[in-house]
Amino acid sequence: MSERILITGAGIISALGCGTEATLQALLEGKSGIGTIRHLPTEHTEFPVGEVPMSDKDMADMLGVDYPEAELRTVLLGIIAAKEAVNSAHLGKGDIEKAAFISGTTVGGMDKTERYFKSVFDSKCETDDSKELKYNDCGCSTELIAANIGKFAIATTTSTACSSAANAITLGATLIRNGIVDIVVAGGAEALTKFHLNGFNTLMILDREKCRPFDRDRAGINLGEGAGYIVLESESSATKRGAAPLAELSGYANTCDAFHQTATSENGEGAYLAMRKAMDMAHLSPQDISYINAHGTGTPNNDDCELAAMERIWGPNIPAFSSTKAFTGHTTSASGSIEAVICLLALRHGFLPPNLGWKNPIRDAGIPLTEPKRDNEIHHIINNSFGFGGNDSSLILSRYEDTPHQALNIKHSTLSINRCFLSSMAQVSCQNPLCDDWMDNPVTLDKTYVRAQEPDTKGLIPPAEARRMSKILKRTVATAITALNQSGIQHPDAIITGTGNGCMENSEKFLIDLCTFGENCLKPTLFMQSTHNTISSLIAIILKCHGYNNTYSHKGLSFESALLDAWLQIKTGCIRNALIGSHDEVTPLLSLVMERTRPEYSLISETSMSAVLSSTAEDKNICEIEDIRIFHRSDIENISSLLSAETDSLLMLGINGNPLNDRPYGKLLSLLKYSPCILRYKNIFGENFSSSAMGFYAGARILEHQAIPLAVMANDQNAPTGQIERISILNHSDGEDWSLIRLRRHLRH
Amino acid sequence: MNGLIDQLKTQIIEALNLEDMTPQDIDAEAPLFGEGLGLDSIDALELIVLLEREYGIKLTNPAEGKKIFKSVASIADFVSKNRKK
Repeated sequence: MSERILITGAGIISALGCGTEATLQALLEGKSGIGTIRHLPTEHTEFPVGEVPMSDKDMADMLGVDYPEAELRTVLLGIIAAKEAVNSAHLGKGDIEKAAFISGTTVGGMDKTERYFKSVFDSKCETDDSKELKYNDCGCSTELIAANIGKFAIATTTSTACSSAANAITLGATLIRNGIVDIVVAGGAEALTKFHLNGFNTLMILDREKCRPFDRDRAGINLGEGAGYIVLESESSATKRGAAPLAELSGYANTCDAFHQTATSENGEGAYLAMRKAMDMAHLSPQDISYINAHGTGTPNNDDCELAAMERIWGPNIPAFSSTKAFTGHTTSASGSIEAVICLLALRHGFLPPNLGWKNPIRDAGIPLTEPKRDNEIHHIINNSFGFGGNDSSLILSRYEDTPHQALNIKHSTLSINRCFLSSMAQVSCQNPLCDDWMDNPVTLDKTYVRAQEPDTKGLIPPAEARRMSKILKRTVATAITALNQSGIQHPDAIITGTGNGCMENSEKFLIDLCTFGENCLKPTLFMQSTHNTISSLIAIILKCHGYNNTYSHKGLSFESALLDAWLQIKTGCIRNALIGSHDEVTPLLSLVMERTRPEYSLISETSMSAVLSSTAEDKNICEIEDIRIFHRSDIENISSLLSAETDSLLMLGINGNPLNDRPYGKLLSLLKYSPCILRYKNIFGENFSSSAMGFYAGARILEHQAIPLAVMANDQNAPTGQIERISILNHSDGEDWSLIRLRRHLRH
Repeated sequence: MNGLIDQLKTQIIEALNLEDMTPQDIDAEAPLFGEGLGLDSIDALELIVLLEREYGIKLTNPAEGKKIFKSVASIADFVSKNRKK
């Protein structure tokens, strides 16, 4: 499985125009796309932006799409760029059906949400407009983009703020490296919204003039928008298809600065580690790097610290570098892939894009390229993407012909050498928090919304940290610290989180403030803790964990995406252990929207579950995670054909008594050639985008205690009489996306 | 001035979620940042929002805040001279 990962297609849309050709021309001519706001209905026209020069209608007409895509800018941008990527790689229907689609976003459908929010808020959700808010979550955007491209085998969403698209590409590489798929369309899409324009404004880091990354007098960011996707493909698949490789993804790394939610550490620790580790993976030394496409946002803090990180590696001899954000604006979640496509163009066409707007150096070593430079000796390019919370990622794109052969011996590429155990877990839900009273004495649920019982966080969270944390953050940290204490691991190698709606309370409050106060006087704390990766990065900041840190936000498969990422990395020895979890919360308004627009739900709840996974076989382990799979738009027949009496006699299902939700499970059971014993968990923990994590939790506790609580038993036919060997957790999201997790009893020595 | 100082203390506790504090716990002359209450740059931005929402004072450059936000007394002094409401 030590295959090289090639890039065989690319697509892009940004302020520079639509497509790789237009982008290439603008870059070669040194023509910035930044200008006055035209399409976003905001009063803050004093801020220049890199807006895509097309209205929603222009894009919808061009694509021939209708409701709901036509009203969702992130989706429109995503479809345009993903289509170009797929076409340029000449992927056919059959290729796509075996491929994965991984997209990064944070904004998701927020542009639409903010258009309808006031009427929903004023009417207390008593308006038909409420249904327009159901497109808000990140996973929804990915699903809609994917649906317009083809029937992918896997689809998921990364959401780590401004490094989201880079982390979509790293997951794509992980999937290929492990032989899960041969082809991945990976990248990100993000539209400008009032929400984040005002959010960045609360942090006072928007420049009123055109941005000047790495300039001594730089004064902040110009926001931008767009989408970029690349097609990643195993070398054997590309050879088999006769696809021409555009470049190789020779290295990548995801690290965490673990310093502050919105500021970078002075010596750029996260940035330094990301570039170092990516070079290690590619077997490259610093002198091999021809060019760095810097994150370079133009804020005083980022550019200074990124430069410090580069100086730590290269001393005074930093390779040619520039930030292309003065061309495109900062395209936030899409920037990782938009800039990866720009790097690809540089590599293919032998030029280095300049750092527009630069005049004076910050320090002597920090002089970026100021003119476009023709260079036919570009071999290896580093592409940096850093996000809030210190989610820092670096990618290395290499000319395919040049890549040294030893790059084949990538350390972690020996497949499935390790086993993956569940070492510890903790939950906060409507049941007694941080314990397992639910097994004997579950609280009975009888309301529509099931609020969590708040844990006592004294002693778990330092008071100075706690004062700023919303409830979901406190629950998350409480479960994370409890699980880590139980496992005896203080600094996990990776922290990977799932969340369908993220920090919804902070987002909702920020939206309400936008309605109440208009586009002024908004609170920075609400914005900086509204991003989905706040959860994962906050844990890293508290624990000072600089390792892998990622966040998945993909509807009902958010938890499974996080679990799959951790499981693959543990199995292949990339990491020894990981803290994983999934967390979602209930809010006054958006949960009401969820209830009105999701008739298949019965009991909307808030839950937090954290777990520690480890490759070490220990007596105290709870169980082993034998398998985890996710399926996109899969036929139920496919899922049922995977199940057998031998491995799946105990099935934990996400049934809730509501036929709209339960029908796909019923159909699946009718297809089985054996009679499993059916278990349930939503009657105990309620349901939300993270609730499959509670099914996982309940299943693992049952294996640990070798006892099935009465309340979990959906039918007592075929109940096991002896040892409980395995439990399979089967979950569907919207009846089309499925997941299967197989847990096995831990054999004690 | 003392009335304004007490009002500001209450508003600061609320805006910054200083959960376990009462106005009596804050010394009007003590530094708010660094050693004193240990506030950070995000708190400074929250204080800018507070001044705008409560007193109609608009600061556009966060650097201006440094001097103004030295202590509750210095904020009170600035507010009394610049308030629009």
